[in-house]
This record gives sequence, C-alpha cells and structure tokens, in this order.
Amino acid sequence: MLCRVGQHRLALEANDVVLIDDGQAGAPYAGRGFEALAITPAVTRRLRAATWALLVDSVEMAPEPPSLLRVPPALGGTAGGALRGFVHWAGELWPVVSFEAFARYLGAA
Amino acid sequence: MADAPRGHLVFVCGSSLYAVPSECAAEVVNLPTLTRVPGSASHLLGVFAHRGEVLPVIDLAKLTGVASTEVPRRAVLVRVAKGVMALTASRVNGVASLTGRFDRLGETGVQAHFRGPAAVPAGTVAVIDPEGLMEFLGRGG
Repeated sequence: MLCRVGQHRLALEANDVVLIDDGQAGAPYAGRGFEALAITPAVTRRLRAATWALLVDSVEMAPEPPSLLRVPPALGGTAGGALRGFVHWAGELWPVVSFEAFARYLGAA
Repeated sequence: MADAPRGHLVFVCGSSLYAVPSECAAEVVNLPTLTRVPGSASHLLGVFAHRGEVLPVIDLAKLTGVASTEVPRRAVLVRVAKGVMALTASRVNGVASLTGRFDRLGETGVQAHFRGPAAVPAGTVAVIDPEGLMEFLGRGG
C-alpha cells in the first residue's frame, strides 16, 4: 500500500490495514515521522488496523507486490525499529514500515 | 618497526578533510534525488538505489556537528563487510599514503570512530574507521 505524505512517500503492507476511511479522529499524521512539526492537511485518508490508525495524504495499491530491498545496516533502529525495507515502484524508492510499529513510534514521539 | 604506509582516499566535506582506507572506497558518485526516511537523524540526508542496493547518504558535516552551508552533490561510497554507505563529499582529493598509528579523536560518540589527525599535502585529515562508523550509525548514533 503506497502512501503519499506531503512530499514524502511511505509504504505499508496491505495485510496490516483493516479499513481506509476519511476520518481523522484518533490517528496521528504520518508526516510527523518525516518532519516533527508537519501540519495535518485538511484532506487525509485514515488507515486503520486493529489497534492503531494513521493519517496519510493519499493511498494507492501496487498491482503486484514489489521486491523488498533490505534496510541498510546504517539505518538500524530508524523510526523506533519500524523500518522494514524499501520497494522500488514507478521509478521511486518507497520506505516500507510496520504499520503498528510506526504508529506506536509516532504516538511516542 | 614502522607501520607500512596504507593508501587512503582523501576527500573534503564542509571545511574538513577526511580519509577512508582505499580498499573500502568503492566509488565516487554524483548524488541523485534522495528519498527521505521517516524517523531518521538529520545527518541522514536520505537514501538512493544504486546497483540493486539501497544506500544511506550521511552528511559528515552534520554528523560531526561542523557548521556548513554547502549542499552536498557528491558522495564516496564506502563498502565494509556489513554493507555500503555514502559519505558526502564536496571534493575528492585522491589517494594518499598515510603512515603511522593514529589516536581516536574522541572517547565517545562519533569522534570515537575517527582517528588522527594525519598529515596530507592539503592539510590535516581525520581518518574514518568505516566499520566502526557503520556500527555507530546502526545503533542510532
């Protein structure tokens, strides 16, 4: 699941997301993972899992699961350990994060 | 017995000279557009894909706390057993032979992974311990 967050990109495993809706309550804006003072835009998409939720600007699905590129050793522990790797899609790199770990990281940050 | 001279690639980042062992200096590249990584430290400018790998770009000036206004456009790709990292460079001076043992430039923090200072024609240089630096970065340093 490929998400746009301001000028940044984020990828999540589709299996981790239970529901996508337009609400904002009870969900941190994923942009704050890139810039601490990122302002939640007026229009967002809310991604929901069993316990956690995230706000992103937009969501699209990759028609086929792209290959996961490993996390470089120098990035170990980034985003509270939420970083899972990278995928290459449409000519761009997308950081892949664990939904729960990233949402927890944003909540704790 | 004197240490045998070892070749090191010398380069400039900000206003400082750095050196890495030649056998670790894989390539010098022009930096493409980088992808930001969420939750990353300010010295990690982003990542890019290169020959099938994702490479982190480390701004040495920011890492060492040296003020710099330059926008890095090149990087030295440093390869160690665990992987590759890209260290920003404004100018690459070439290979110099460095002789002798150099003390750590600090006891803790990032400076513990730099040794020197060593003398080269362009000035004094901090010699990077690439394995140690990658370990330090991987621990969130």
